[in-house]
Amino acid sequence: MVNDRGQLYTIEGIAAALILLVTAYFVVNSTSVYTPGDTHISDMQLEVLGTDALAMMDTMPNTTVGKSPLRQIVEQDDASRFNTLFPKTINARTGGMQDDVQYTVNVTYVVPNTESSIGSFHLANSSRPFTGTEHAVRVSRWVLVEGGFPGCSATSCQGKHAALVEVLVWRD
Amino acid sequence: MSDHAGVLSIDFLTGFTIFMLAFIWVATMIPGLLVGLNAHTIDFDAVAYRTGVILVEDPGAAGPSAVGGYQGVFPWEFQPDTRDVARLGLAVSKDTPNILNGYKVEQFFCKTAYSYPDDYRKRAIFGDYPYRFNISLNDTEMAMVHSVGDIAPDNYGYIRRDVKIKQASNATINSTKILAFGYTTTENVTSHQFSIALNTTELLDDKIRNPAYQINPFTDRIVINITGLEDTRNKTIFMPALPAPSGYNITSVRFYQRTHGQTSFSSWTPGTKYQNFLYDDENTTPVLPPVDIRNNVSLVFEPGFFSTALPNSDIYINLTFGMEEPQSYLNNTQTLPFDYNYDPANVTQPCLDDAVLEVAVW
Repeated sequence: MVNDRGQLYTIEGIAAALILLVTAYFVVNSTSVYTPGDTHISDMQLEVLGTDALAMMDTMPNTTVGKSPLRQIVEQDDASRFNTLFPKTINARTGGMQDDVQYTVNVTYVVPNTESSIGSFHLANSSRPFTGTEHAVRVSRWVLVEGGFPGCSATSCQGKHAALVEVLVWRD
Repeated sequence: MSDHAGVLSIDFLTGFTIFMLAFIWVATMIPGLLVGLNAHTIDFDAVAYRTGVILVEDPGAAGPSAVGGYQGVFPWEFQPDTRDVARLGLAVSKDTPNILNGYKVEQFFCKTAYSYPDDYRKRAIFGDYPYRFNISLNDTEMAMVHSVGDIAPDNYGYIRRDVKIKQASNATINSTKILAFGYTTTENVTSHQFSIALNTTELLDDKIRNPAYQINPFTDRIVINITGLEDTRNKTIFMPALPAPSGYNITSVRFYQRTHGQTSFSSWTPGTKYQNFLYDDENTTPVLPPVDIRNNVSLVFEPGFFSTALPNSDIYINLTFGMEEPQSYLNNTQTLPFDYNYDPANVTQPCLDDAVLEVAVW
């Protein structure tokens, strides 16, 4: 007679292992469910908008002007002009009501001839203040400027150097 | 006797395994049934973003059977057959993102050239799904809105891009400039000639290399207005009022080209579709020479007009004026041709108008 002691345990083990493997396969292979309303999409749209607005402000309207509006604003610390130009650019629509994007702007630069001293100043902001709880997106642009800044009027600050214009933009 | 306590039968194991497999399979399908998700709605924002990038950051491309090119470049906006257009991009060049070409904008929104939605789907939207869309462009400085597509429903993907539109350059040769440059002659003759020069080497390879600000005779619209012709004639000679002929006319407009650095000229003729470029006085309908004139003449060379001229050539536009009575008139044969260049005193330079583009996809 054939001795079948132990074979059942072996078959049972194989069956159990197959169940585990197949279950694990199905769990891992299940299709992910993407839900709409992903907030990162609106972040991306706002970031593209802010980047475009800064790029267009840093573009000369023609060759006779010499310096872009953004460069002139940073060199002259002209908050009033920024508060006129930036909202006009970022809130423009093709029809219907204008958008209502809020912002706050800082300019950061390396103090020339120091290599380690960082200076910054607040350039402008929208009418609604930034409290820190807004879901803001950061956009920035390097601008080549010439001359001193508030807080750095020394001779070493003259001449051309790069400044980083950082804008936090958000919608209420 | 063998001990079977605690051991399941093989039949039960087999059946239970098949049951569990089936149960797990169905359980994984339940979330898909409950959510009822349509995959295409997830794409709308991504497709809108991609379309925005193609429109504002890409200059577009013509298909492999394109015609009308210059120096190996075949702009899509010059293709007479829309089937030769592969991709509708509005940027001046790949190096100038967000700076749009004004003529490309005109062609993109031309309803006789491209039909909604098929022509735009194949050349700007792409993808297998038949998306519907609305693309709108607002030139805020000209207060002009272009739009193509349907009105967006409640649920749609969206992107907005801030751009600038490059406008054409133009030159106005008025009586002040005529006097300053000495563009008259004291010779009393019945035929006078006036020349305008387009030095393509100076325009494309010299000071201004940024395509956003360049005057490119091969692709840009060139506008030349000559005003104050009354001040160059002998005013003692009576000029009959309209509708009688004035006694002055443009006899012909001829074109010549000369390879830069060479001395010999060759005649050049524009393509047959570019015959309507001459406007007289205040008329908005183009005229063909010989044509009666009084005080103003305008030459409007549409984009692509000079595309068949030699590369690196100087292009000369020669106007011949005729009159019944011998007298002095506009004439620069004894001086230099009017140079259409980057001097803002001579030529109004290309300027960039603020604009905003919106793309909605559903």
